[in-house]
Amino acid sequence: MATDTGRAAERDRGVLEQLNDRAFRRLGVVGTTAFALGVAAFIAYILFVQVDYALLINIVYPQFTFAFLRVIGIVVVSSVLSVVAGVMVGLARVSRTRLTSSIAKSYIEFFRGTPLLFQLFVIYLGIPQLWPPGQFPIQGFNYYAAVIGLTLNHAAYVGEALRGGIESIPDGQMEAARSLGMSYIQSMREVILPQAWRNSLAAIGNDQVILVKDTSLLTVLAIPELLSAFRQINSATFDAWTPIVLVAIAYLMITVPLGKVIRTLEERADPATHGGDD
Amino acid sequence: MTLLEFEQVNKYFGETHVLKDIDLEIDEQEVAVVIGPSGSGKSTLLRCTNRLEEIQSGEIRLDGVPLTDPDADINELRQRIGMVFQSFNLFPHKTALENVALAPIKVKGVNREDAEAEARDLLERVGLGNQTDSYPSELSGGQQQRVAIARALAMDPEVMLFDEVTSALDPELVGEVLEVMRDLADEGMTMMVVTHEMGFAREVADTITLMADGEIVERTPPEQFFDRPTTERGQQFLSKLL
Repeated sequence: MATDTGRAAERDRGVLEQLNDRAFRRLGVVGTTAFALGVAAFIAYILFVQVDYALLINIVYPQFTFAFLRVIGIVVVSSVLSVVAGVMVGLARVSRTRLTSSIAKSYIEFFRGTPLLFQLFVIYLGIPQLWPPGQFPIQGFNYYAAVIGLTLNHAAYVGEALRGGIESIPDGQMEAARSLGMSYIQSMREVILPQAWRNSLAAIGNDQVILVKDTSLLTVLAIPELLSAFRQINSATFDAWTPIVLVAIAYLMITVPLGKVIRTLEERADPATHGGDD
Repeated sequence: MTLLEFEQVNKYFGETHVLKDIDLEIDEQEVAVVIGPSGSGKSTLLRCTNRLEEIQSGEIRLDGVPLTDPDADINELRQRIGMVFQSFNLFPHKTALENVALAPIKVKGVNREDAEAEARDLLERVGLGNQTDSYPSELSGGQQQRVAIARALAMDPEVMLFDEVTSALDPELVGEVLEVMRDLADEGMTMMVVTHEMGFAREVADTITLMADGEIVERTPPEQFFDRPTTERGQQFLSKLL
């Protein structure tokens, strides 16, 4: 009995051991190829059977084009603001003044710890209610709310990414800069931040790609962005796949080039592969 | 004339008393070598001298100006004190030339051309005239440390602090760094040198200061220290070296 189970265990081990590196690689090739073929077949089916090209041409312009440009506009403004604000959050976060750093920490915890959708509602619905009914002075507040919400939320992520980048720089860098008579601000600007920026770039870039996708939440602020356009067309025509294809293409047209830009920045920031930082 | 003065300096790391009533005077043009077993407080003493560490009591004066005064303009005082670190701490995103020229441009407001010309001269002086455009990662440890010395000299300091500057180097690279320090000493630079290089200490030092357990045990000319140390601690320390 004991020898039987012993032999069974040996056989089991034998099977596992057959999965050596070469077999594992082959399994990977077969698996991913099968997956890709399946997806390709599915996409072909969607494109040749499901998509209504007459409708597609009808909605590409103006509806989707405008939604696309609107998303790009909101992304550009929020992205710039969130990186600028994020640098400030990150600097506050590494401050040796405890008050400053704990305020920054609380900020980050709030904006990372509650859903963006909730934050958008707080701004969009909460802020106007601080005025007497009908007295809120800003027209088109949903756009302001969108930019403010995306900026505040992503500044927290950028700040945290930058904190990680700053903390990864050895203390000796700050000490060397200070010992030359440079002030804290000069040392940060000239020595710490250029290096920290390089270390944080991947994380910040990641966050900016997420920011692009987060614009889909703006549909709840009555902003005619891509998902709003999708829902509108879907409810008018009951066609799901035609607008789905357009939404997918539109988002990828932003996120794929953005990823490329970030990779280029990363390469340029690395003196080992390039030889310069300016 | 006394340039650097320590008076009743006490420093604690938490509960640990790392510098105990340090009194020390370093004259202009003196090469003061500080030696002692690890943990004796010699690096801490150096780091307190340009306030990378704060002391808890006592006073450190540069040319009579108390630099441990909370109101002292520490950025101004640090310009007058050059420091070289064990781990070089060159700025890896800047070339050798940029490393040397950075502080003169940013702190002293020297224009870029003059600062870079001066930096070139300094790199020439430490034997790296042909490496001005190299990044630190492209230089050997010995070369990096020589750039670090040039960088400190670029601020035209009155005193130079050397914190175990050869300890992180491969043995065959130690000589080139010591060579630069010896030249500096010959030119009359006031230097405070924490080192384990006893050959250098014996040859270049004007005074040897032996520290142990946060105290200055002995402070004598090198001949006397190495040949017949007066204190028991001095004798113990030497006997371990030999």
